Amino acid sequence: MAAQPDFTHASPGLDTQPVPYYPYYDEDFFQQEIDRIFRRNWLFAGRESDLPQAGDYIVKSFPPLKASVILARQQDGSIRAFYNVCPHRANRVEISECGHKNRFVCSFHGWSFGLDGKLKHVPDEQAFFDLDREARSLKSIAVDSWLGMLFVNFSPEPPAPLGEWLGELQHAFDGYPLPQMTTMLKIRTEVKANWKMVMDAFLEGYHVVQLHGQSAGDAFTSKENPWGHLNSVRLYDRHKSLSMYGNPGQSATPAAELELKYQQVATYAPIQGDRYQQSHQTRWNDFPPGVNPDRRDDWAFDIHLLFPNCSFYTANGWSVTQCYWPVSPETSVIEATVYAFQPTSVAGYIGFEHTKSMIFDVALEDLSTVERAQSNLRAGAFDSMVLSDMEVVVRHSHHVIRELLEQDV
Amino acid sequence: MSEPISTPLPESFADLSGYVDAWAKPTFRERYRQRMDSPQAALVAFYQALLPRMDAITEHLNQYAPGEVPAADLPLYFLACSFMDIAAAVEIYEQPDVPLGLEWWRPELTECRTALDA
Ligand code: FES
Ligand SMILES: [Fe+2]
Repeated sequence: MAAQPDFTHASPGLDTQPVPYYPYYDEDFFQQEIDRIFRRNWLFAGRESDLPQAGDYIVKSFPPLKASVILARQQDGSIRAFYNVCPHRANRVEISECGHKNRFVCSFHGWSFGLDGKLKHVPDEQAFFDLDREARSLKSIAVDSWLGMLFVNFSPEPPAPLGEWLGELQHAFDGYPLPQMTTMLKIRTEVKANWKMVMDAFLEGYHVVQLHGQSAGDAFTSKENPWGHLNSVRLYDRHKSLSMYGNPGQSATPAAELELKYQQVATYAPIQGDRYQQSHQTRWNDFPPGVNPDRRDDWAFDIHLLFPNCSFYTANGWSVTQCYWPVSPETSVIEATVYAFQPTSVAGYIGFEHTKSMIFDVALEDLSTVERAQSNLRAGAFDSMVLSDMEVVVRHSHHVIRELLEQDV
Repeated sequence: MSEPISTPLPESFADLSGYVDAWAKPTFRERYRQRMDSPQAALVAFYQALLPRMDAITEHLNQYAPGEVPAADLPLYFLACSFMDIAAAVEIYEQPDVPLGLEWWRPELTECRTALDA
């Protein structure tokens, strides 16, 4: 029997049965995920602020699609995206990670392309046979933005617009100041585990008491809520959101006190965050509806899973995106990016240094179990896992993916 | 980035000069590596020396805008960063590394902004 509230029974379509292991390693299942999910959904690529000026570009690789993409700011301010594949003989056109250019020149034979991807110049063009310049321009990919976040879509057919794909989440964060936040740090990790093994480990809150028992202290638990039960969960057709409980009476170590004092924000603290709110004239009620949707004082942060693989965290003064990229059935790349209001003083940066090391330490905890679990899946001891109500988001992920793969093509 | 820093500390922080060689390191990765390579007793000593001085350090550094800290004062900034980076080893874990954690060198951390940036 599950404790109240029972998120699992409240969610139509979810059962309470054990969930099988094979989606974490099966090769055929993996290939279907790539073809039918990763190739057909909007995927997080970066932020508009990564390429502010016309001519600025970033290059982003998408391991599940085995693709590198150039995103370039156009003269009219819009952003276009192209496969980073030379239409001549497949060389990678742009090999830097970011920069500013008027045209992209392939280093193999010198074909050049405009910011808009159009083929501009072919050395010794007369030696080709009926070269179709239009068809041999850089191949474009759908790109769109939301809250300053850029998403691309590899679908061969024109995809549903980003806003439609976001569904219930589309307007839930209107006014959330992510575009005003600065990219403070990135963490990239390769792990020998299925992408869902890692995503599931970060998404459920059940592990906090044990795995983060020391580092989280009493931030997510209290006498009233000893297991850190979630404030709420919203399960949509594909996406989902959850709101983490935060203990208003949590204690702080001396270094955490200094972090707050220098930076005016504590990473998980709703009440301590009040000081931050005062300095920024924010109140819970000013938040967009998707941020702390329950309007509770005992709130830490929300995680929104933008299907299939991008966790977007909303909190009071900071945000995170964390993407789980499949590389092979049993290897993944995890890319986390941390955003915050840019410190205005040197002390602010010293405060953020504590946030940084805490995020890093906790990531080492979160990532510690996934390879051990992955390596055990075929030991023959079990072939399925049991999930508590606290892990309903894991059940939902498996449910959504199974449903999509079972649909007729 | 890994050049040893030989600049002495400002006079009013001379009491901390014994920590410069080990801890005035310019990147998170170097500071974290130093945390991993240090015996717990050294972390505790560094923590106890820095904690009561942190307010004076930040006050001193706050006379400069981000991006404008003079080279002579950078070791002090890096010491303060090291304090923040090792605090958990003393306050929480009571050992340098995260117990049972993933190998610390595997995640690649990129610092996109620090007080060295304008
Ligand atoms: S492959 Fe790019 S110019 Fe030949
Ligand atoms: Fe966690």
